[in-house]
Amino acid sequence: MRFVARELTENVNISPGGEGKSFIRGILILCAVFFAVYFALIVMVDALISYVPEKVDRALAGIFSPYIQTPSEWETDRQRIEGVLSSMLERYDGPVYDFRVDILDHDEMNALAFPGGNIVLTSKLVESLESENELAMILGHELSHYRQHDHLRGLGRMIVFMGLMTVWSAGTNSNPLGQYVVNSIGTFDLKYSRKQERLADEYGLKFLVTRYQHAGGAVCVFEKLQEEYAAQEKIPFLQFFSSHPLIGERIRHLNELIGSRGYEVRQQLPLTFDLPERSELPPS
Amino acid sequence: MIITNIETVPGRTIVEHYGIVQGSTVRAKHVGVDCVAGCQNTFGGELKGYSQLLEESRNEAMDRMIKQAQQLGANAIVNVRFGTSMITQGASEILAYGTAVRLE
Amino acid sequence: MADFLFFVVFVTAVFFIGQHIQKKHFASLEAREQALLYLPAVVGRKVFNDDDVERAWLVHGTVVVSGDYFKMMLAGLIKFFGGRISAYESLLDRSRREALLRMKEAAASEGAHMVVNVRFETSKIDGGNPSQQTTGMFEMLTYGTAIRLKAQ
Repeated sequence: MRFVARELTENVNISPGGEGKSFIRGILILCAVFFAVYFALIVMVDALISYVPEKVDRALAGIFSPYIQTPSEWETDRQRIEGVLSSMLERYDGPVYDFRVDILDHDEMNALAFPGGNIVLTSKLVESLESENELAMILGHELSHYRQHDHLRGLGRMIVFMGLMTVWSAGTNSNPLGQYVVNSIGTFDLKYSRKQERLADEYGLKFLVTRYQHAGGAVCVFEKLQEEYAAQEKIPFLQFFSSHPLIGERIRHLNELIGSRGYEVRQQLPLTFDLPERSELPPS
Repeated sequence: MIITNIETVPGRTIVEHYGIVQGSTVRAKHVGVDCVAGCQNTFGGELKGYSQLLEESRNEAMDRMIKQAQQLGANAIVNVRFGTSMITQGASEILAYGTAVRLE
Repeated sequence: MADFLFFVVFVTAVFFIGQHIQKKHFASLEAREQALLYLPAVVGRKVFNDDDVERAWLVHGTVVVSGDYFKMMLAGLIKFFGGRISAYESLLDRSRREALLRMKEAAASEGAHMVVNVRFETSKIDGGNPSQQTTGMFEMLTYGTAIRLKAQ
């Protein structure tokens, strides 16, 4: 047996196709697949949402309620807000829940609609209020979210989101790439949620006007928010990533509506909250 | 191409040898198979998806080894060995190597 | 947004650096393989007569490698859909060839005429953790018996 030295001419042990190219192709396919699956599921969720029985809504509320509790010091303020809410409920025509208001100790101005009709206002938002009309505008906005089933929609989206993330992590050992892709889907999807917010603003305004016969206070809340977030709005492209339309835009839209529908802006009913200092430490 | 895992090809005479040839591949199954295998892992038994994966990989590694041998002008590979090593979860490397020879 | 931009820049940079290293390594492998082409390495051992052997000794070549961040990202992508993970194929191929070359170089430096009974081993010496952005390390080991024949 004799040795003959021969050279290999090509490397057969590497699959054809450059690494850079297959990376870009992979990303594009991944995005396409994730987007398609996500939006298909979302369309399904949206179609099913109006059929969700009240029982499910109540059960969901049960999950969140232990985390949403108004500190006992703020009970009287909470009841005052609920008083305003009940005066508005006469004109509410959406699905009926046991509406309840809670004040959450938080250093950010925000209002949220939780399943089961639990409207949550942050303490900072409550303290900034100067009139009943402003409060009514906020409550009207949240009531419209219930009218549009947005609280369930948001939850449905969250579940779809988490599902995608779980599948990705299981298949790839939590490679960070998928997180970026899923997040980018979220960014595109925010466009949709901004539309919902805009609708909620419009309904909120209608609630306010039918309740008080004028649109005073509708814009004030947003002006306060704008002041609060003045710094943020200077960042370019922020609108693209923000779940709510930029506040300036919302004010403009509301003013336009008030002008075009010929609503009057009259004296507001003064109503202020001075939340007492809490004795216990906030749950963290 | 005659392939054996002994020193010779019985009944034939080796006239020339060309040194080591090797073929290897790293492959993975899609996420669905990973998930099913993950569940099956709890109960044990054959993981069909992964059996198939390794079978395919081994064939591919053999193919690549044969291609190398062909490049060298060999018509047989003797003393073939296999190796398997885990690279990442659900992706294994299969290696096949042997001595490329020419039979009379 | 900022960390996404950082991610893009980082992956692109790693891609170019990693591909450059890979290209250089392949070029170096080809040149060294060419130089050692005269030295046969075989898996079996029936390539010499026992009477002709002057000396036999164990030689080995070893290399520890890890994939880069880009390769890990690419592997993750392909793992999701299934298929050949070429990013790791190229890494393992060149490290195995490197280990084989190092073994041959060790044998040649002591005047061997051939290496017989060559074996390859791959072992993972660190699992790696994608969430901590590491790919894991592999050791490629090649070993065999170097044979020096008597002068004719």
